Amino acid sequence: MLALLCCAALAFVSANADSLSHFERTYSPSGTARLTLSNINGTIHVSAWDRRTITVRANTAPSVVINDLLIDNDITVTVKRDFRLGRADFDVSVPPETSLILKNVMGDIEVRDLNGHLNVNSIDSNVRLIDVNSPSVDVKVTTGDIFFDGALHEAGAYNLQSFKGDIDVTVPESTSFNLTARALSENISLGSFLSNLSGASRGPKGVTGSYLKGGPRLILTAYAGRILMHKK
Amino acid sequence: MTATAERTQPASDLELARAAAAGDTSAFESLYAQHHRRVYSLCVRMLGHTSQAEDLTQEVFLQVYRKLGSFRGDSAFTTWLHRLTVNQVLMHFRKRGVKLEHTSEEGDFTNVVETPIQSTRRISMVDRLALEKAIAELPPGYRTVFVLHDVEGYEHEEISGLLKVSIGTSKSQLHKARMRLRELLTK
Amino acid sequence: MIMVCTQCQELLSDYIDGTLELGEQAHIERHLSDCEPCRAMRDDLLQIVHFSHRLPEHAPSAALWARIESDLAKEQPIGFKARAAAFWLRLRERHFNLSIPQMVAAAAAFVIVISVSVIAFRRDTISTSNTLAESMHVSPGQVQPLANPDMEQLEQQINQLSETVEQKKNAWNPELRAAFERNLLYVNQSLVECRHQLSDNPSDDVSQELMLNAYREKIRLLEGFKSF
Repeated sequence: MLALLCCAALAFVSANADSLSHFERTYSPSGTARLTLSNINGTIHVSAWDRRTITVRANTAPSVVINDLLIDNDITVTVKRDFRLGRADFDVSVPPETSLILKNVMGDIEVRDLNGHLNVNSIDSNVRLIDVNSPSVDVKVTTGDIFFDGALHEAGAYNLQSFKGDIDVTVPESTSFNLTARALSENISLGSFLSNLSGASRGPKGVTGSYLKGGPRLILTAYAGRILMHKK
Repeated sequence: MTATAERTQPASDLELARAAAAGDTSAFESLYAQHHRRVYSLCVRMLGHTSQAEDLTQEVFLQVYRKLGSFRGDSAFTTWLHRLTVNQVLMHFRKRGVKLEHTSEEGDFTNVVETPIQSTRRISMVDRLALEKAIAELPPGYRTVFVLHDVEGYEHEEISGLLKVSIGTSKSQLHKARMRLRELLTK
Repeated sequence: MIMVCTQCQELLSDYIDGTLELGEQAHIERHLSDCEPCRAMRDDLLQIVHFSHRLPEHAPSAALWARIESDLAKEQPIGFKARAAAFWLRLRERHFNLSIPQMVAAAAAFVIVISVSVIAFRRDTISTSNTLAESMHVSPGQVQPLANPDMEQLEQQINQLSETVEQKKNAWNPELRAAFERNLLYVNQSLVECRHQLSDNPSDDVSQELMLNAYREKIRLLEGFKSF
């Protein structure tokens, strides 16, 4: 009877061996940190919290290997490249001023409440940046929508690019910026920003101009997709 | 043998749509004049606030302008326009990562004292402003189903198709929305 | 079976909407006849539903039409395709008053027009087919050379990266290969579109800019997959 129970337990454990593995690390940088997270297949969710530590958690397929490296306040977390394309879904909590570099091949990316520099480089991802108040944002995807809802810093640079997907930007009504919008699809809709856009040029594929006092550089580039702007 | 010539009297919206599709901007302006309030109202109620409703309404009419050539008159223009509006709002929700179909139970009732099941307290009289305000306070998932069903008259089959949820989920969300509204209106 | 209040209240929406089966409906009505709290809830929900059907419409600001009008002015006129579709739709709905000799004459004219068009089309097709094939077919490794020296350098880089990726691609997982080919197709389609726009208007700065950017994107894509 005991042998039978042991066999049953072993069978149960083996059956669950193919289910998810878990990765978790907490880092305590001494100052403002820079986190570089490179994934291949899976989602990345980053949100700010009021602690001073950075916690990276992931649920992964058993074949996935994650390496991390900490040098001073530079933290690098990398999913090892593997042709099996095991999935890893990341959930990251950071202090708001953390600089983020996020890389992915396939899988949606979401960042919330960040105040630090942000760079997103992916192939096939929908990217959502919500309540972001960063001095610079650079997002490039080949396929996917980019949604930005946040604030722009006066000397900031904001570059959003997608080849197949929409670029949708929401900023407060009082935000000034210098805009360069390029859409190969000729689909640019600036909403109520258009009426106060001064200077430079407007054509079906491109709009450049200053809104209110100008200042932050907002560069939006879409190919097979729309560029949309909204007031918050 | 000859074929009989007839000229049918098309519906006003259909004629305007065809004229607008052929480049008649005054026809498009007439369509806007007749339908913009309904589109805007739907956007306001589904969003729960006015701040982005105008922008969404603007996008809807731009899409209408672009797609008028594909409107064949198989359905009423209002039905076609309505569906386009709902899809535009849902796309807006998707882009914001707003999850509609699985509204957390915990978040819903944090600040509300639930009316005990045995209470005989009633809504004294429904004030329309209070109802609008209460609808705006619903969580997005409940609000979407409530607006589509009770305000706009969609059936659960249509709602389940639009939101990609089961009919059971749509019915359950509607009931929860109504119960929540009752709580808000009896405060 | 006696229905308790929690059961009744869970079904009230379906009851109000008339979607319950007769048996369940009767069950609820029996409970409601003896239960004031549930009746109170039913009456409240009825009010909510009743007034929701009758909510007034809101109006946006007067400036909204001006903004839409401005958007429309930038749009292409609803294109030839849509106008043609509208025209054919109107044509389908008409009935024509034609005699038999008129119909025969119309048919003959139609045949003549079609024959002339086919002959003309064949002549054109031979001269344009090569150009079309060239411009539409962009294999992953081959990029058509262009005059701009910056672009030539980018093309060289692309050709080298493409060779590397092509050698590795067959060993990839099918999902990875499909993702690569799909995304490469989107970038190549954009490049083709940029070239078309530039051939129509060589001084189009925006298309130049977009094409240069598309070349850089292709490099980014190839580099992204190179290490698999």
